[in-house]
Amino acid sequence: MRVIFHVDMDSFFASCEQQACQSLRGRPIVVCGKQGSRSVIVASSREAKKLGIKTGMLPFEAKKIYPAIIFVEPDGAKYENISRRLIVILKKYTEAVEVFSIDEAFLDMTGYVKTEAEAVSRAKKIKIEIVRELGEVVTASVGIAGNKLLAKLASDINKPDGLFLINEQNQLEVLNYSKLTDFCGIGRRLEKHLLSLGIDSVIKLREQPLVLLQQIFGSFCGQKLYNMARGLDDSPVTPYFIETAVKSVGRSYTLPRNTFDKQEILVVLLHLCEKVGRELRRLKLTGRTVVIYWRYADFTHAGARQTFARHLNDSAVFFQFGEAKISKFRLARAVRLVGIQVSNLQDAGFCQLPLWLADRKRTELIPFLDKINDRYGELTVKPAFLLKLNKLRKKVGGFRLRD
Amino acid sequence: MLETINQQVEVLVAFMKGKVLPLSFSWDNKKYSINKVNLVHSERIGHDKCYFFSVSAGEDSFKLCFYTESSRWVLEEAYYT
Repeated sequence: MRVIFHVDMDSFFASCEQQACQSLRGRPIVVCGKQGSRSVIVASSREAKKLGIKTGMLPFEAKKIYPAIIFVEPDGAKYENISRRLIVILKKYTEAVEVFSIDEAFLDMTGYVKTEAEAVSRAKKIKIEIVRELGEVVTASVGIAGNKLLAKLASDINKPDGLFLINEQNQLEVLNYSKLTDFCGIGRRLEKHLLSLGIDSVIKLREQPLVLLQQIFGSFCGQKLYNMARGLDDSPVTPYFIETAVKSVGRSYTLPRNTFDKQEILVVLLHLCEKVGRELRRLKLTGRTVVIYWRYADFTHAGARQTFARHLNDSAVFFQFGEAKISKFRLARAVRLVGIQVSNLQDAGFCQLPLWLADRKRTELIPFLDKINDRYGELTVKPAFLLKLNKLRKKVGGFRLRD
Repeated sequence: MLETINQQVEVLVAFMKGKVLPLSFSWDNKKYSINKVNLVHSERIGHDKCYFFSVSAGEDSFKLCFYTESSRWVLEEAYYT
């Protein structure tokens, strides 16, 4: 029988901030961008959660609920560092650790624990070690079950600082009491679709025949929903040392205010192109298909897509494409978000060298520019066009663990 | 209230069991005794590796940074209650 642990850090970003600053402990705090910016709340402390302040809310909504709420700006380096230390702890218990996100991981403990009591005792040990190594405020909730789906469901029960085991005896009861959105894979959109079909509970979902679910949601998604309702999941824990193939690399940025100013949009786009180019080169990848997109104030989208003749990872080429498209485009409404995505990836080793000397010189120069930026920090050497960048925050992109 | 300081300071540290433990620091003609190191994390800024020490001194909290390239201590932030 498989034994899977799901370790989920409680209010991770907020807990890290409360760990660092003693004065913030026991107080409702939220982690979000600068006040006045258009960022959303990325984490709320357990005290804020008790007041009903949740992740994804806008800062003014949080202030409406609790005017004295404390806003803390995110510190990605801090969270990444603590996350790394967490993974080091988890690796002591099994080599099969799947880093699911910056604050959660799956552990395949099959063979390491023989009984349920042993599994619970090992989970308690992990929780104690996390607190000892990372700090008294940085706690984790652990879910134990026979598969990843149920383990993730279990870690959400008894949060924060919880521990829950789903076994054959309580599995059906837990499933029946769970909301559809409690399952990893059912978001608000899918829930809405299910509700429109009169499926508002796990029990009702279980009553649906597989054929019907596959007809409505497609063969993959239908099968997944069918399995979810029964607590079935045979997906393996993919250890951290088995690399998963990167399918695309992208970055987007919400502008501080809606704008028609193409220059402002292009400065942001160039920064994003630099970021994507750097990431591709770091991963030793090149891409052929480039998508430039922007979101209008009314949340409608527009953009352009091109598949190039050869694979690239040169930020300047991505930008030239984006600049040409945006310059020609008549902006229907003010723009609130700009983004770029590069897909159709292959190993940079197979990349064809440019034919023209000027292009070849540039290709040869890029690794040296990257080395300078590696040594002295991001954007030490940058296109002159980016000198206007002081308007933006320095870091674009979310928090992820790098290799 | 959080205040960004970014000033070079003098820090007295102890080296214990392979770890650096800041004991006190002087800033603005005042000496602060550190009663607890709440969190230590590091970050690479280019080639320079920086160690951030989030500490408590009395009722207040501070964030100190040690820049390894230049061996400088900088008081980055202060949080007054």
